[in-house]
Amino acid sequence: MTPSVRSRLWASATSFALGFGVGNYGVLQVPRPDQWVWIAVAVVLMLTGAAGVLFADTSRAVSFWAILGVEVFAVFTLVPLLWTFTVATTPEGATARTLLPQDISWSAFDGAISSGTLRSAATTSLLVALVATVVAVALAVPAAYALVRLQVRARRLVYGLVVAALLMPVLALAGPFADQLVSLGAYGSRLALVVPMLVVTLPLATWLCVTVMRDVPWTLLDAVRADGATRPQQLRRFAVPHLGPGVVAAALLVFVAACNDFALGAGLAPDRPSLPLPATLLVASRQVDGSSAVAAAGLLWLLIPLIVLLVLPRRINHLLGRSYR
Amino acid sequence: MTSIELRHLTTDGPGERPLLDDITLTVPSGSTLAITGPAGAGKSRLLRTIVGLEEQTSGDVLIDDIVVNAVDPRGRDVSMVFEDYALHPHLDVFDNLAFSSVLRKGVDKDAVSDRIHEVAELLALTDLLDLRPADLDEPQRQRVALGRSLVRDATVYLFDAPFTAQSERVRAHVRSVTMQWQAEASRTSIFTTNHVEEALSTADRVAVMHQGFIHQVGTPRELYDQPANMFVAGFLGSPPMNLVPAIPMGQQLVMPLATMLIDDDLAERIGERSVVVAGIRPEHCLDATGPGGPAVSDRVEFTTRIDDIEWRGSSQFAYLGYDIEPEIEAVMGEVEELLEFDLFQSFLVAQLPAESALRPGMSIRVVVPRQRIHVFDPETGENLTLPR
Repeated sequence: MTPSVRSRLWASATSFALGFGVGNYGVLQVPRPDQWVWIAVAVVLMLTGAAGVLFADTSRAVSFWAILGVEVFAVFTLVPLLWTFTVATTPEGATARTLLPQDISWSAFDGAISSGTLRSAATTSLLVALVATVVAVALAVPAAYALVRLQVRARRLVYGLVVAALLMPVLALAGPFADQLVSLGAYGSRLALVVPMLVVTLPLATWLCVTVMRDVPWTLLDAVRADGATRPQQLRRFAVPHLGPGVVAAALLVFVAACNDFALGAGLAPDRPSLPLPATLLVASRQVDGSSAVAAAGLLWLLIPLIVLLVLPRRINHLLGRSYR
Repeated sequence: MTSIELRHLTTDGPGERPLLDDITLTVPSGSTLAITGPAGAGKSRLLRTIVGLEEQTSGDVLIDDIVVNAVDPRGRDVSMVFEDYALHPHLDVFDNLAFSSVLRKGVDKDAVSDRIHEVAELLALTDLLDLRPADLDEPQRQRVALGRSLVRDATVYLFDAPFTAQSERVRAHVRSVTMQWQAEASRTSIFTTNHVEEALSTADRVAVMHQGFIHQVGTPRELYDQPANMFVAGFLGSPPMNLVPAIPMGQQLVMPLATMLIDDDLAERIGERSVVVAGIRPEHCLDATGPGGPAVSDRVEFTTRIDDIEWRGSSQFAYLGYDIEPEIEAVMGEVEELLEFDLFQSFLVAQLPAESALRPGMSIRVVVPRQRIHVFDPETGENLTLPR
């Protein structure tokens, strides 16, 4: 038996055993209708096991450990989402007790959209994220150019600082920032959030733009210059086609990160008008009517990264280090 | 139509040695100069400085007798082919070829289109005009890069290793159509190559460059027959010139395999030097084994054993080994270290006609015409046999 066949058989056995366990527990312990979820998961796992045995001794380039991993990953990601969906669609007054939604009512989504609190919070978030992203990208592009292209002294150190800033616990800075804003008299204003938000966006934008800049075919710029392009022509003929898509993808990612920031929002905004959405959902959930509306708002907020991923999936995968080109 | 001149062009490098070392060159209008040298000689740097992409530390670049040091690449209007092709990945071959021509205002689009089709025909790109660079193979991409430059109207044309990716078969053809196209429009061109034969066969004049320094400029024949120094002698030609240590003793020069008589003139130039280097081209080693050998009156001859034979159809190489004393070997090692180039070997290569039935282990009598042997100073590399 070759090692790969043995490994496939082990993967099959593991997924069959897992499926068997999940199925038995579901049938014996879980009441309906959630029982069906358990049984479905068990069937998928056991089918994987069966397929693994069938294909173990073939030359197909599949890894059954990878398939099992994807299945486990999917369960652990989708179940919380499903739970959020169930909570969001539970009719007013009722409490969700099962994983599968019983009685779907969309009123919570209406509520979330029409709720003044959530609307103002979403506006704050989007506005702050937008301004912080624009400023950060405008600064990050030249910075990344210098880090990649120019023989700047200590550029490794600078790049190290950028990465360090990326890993910094933002929550620790929220307190000092708040004190500062209070003494400046700007505490509570929407735009006052932009400057602290740059702590999140600027290092991220620089880090992503460095990746963008590393991929640019720079001799092409030399060629375009040697061909006699003027500055505007260099911008239009070189920068737009070769830098544009990468920078846009980086900006979208930065925007999503800024939209999702919770720590700075919660720490720096005292009350409703300037509290961004993620912070509102946690801190001010009592001001919003019911957990359904909070869950619904959370699900709607999820649309932003989803849209971003749908717009430029390849670029974003590449930027995040998953290059498969 | 345009001449180019470089005066004492120097670019400081990060280390002690400059990247470009006091380069003075003239390329007359309508002529072709080949710059050849080993990798890392500074050839690309020199071209990039002429285009205006890199700045020199001192010295002048003149285009048509006008100093253009402060002029940007657009103002210099020099066309360049880059070693890594620098094609636009998002444009198809036609647009890539057109790119540099349409950057300037007031271009006659129809004329450009005609020229693109003409150039594409020459470089066998006609069927590929709608493809993107990613769909092409390496030689095709290189021809697109070359074509982009040929299509354009510029003052001077620089080609950085423009034929390297072409297969041996196509190479000569691509080279000749390129050079014909340039000659028809009497364009001034400079190309770099590390292929010695390419430089000798293609250009009007050749410059040998190494370590940022131009060792010699001249017509291919001048360089080959009268190399100014040991580096030029050892670099030009394949197989390269045999460089063997020689010890002057009175009227004689003692080499590992042979002894050569020297005349008063050469003896005077050798002077007090205790060791010199003798240079013998492989094709000047004639096989005189057996009766009816070549009739060379003024000759150096020796008999030795053949270590190995390399038969290559049109000719064959005989490798004749010899031993050198350790002290002399040390001197030669130092020279090689200084030059960062392997010049010396412990065998002599003789290029012989393919017909003669030679075998390793056989004894061979070799005759070399005496006036074909060059003598060099081992330290400065200066060619002592050249008439002053």
